[in-house]
Amino acid sequence: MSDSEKPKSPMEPMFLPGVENNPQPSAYLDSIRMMQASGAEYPQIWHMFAFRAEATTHLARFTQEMLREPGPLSPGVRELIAAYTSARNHCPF
Amino acid sequence: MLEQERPGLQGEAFVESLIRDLETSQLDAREKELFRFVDKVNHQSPHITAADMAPLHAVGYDDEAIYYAITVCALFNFYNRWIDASGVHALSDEAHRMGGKRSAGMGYVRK
Repeated sequence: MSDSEKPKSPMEPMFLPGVENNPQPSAYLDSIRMMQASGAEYPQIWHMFAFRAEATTHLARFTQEMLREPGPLSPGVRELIAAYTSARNHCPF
Repeated sequence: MLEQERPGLQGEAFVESLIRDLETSQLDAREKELFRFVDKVNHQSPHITAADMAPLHAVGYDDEAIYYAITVCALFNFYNRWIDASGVHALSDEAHRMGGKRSAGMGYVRK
């Protein structure tokens, strides 16, 4: 995606323009384009997934499986473990 | 052992209180045991021993439940490093709330 066709977004650029500006064709890229077209803020982590879309598909599926699919801990408790872990690591994600 | 979803484990105020102080949060005694363990996984994993499993087993978490807790904590440590180091910025609070609703509805996989 060249700079000229990149819509203005309110979001700060990442440290890695080579990653941010090179999304592979994927559902992530479709989502990014859709959100950029509407001018809405979107999760920048989508660029991390889109850069190596085929590989990160497995990461997304693993995440989904571990957090949301039926398991011994409720999805709510698992989400809470995730939020708690991130917060204790001073990470906003 | 499948847990039922318990109301009350939601809401920003609750999550904030948990982050401030696990011990005074509204988690029940059993959940506090689990979250103490999560803290140790997060900050002192080399010091975890077989003895750390006993208090979890004592309140009814089996190895499968412990496996899930460890995996979620470890996976989010990966995500924390992944985005901190690459300069992925936090969403504004408002966008974050909308995103939370989105992932709650759609899950993590983009089809």
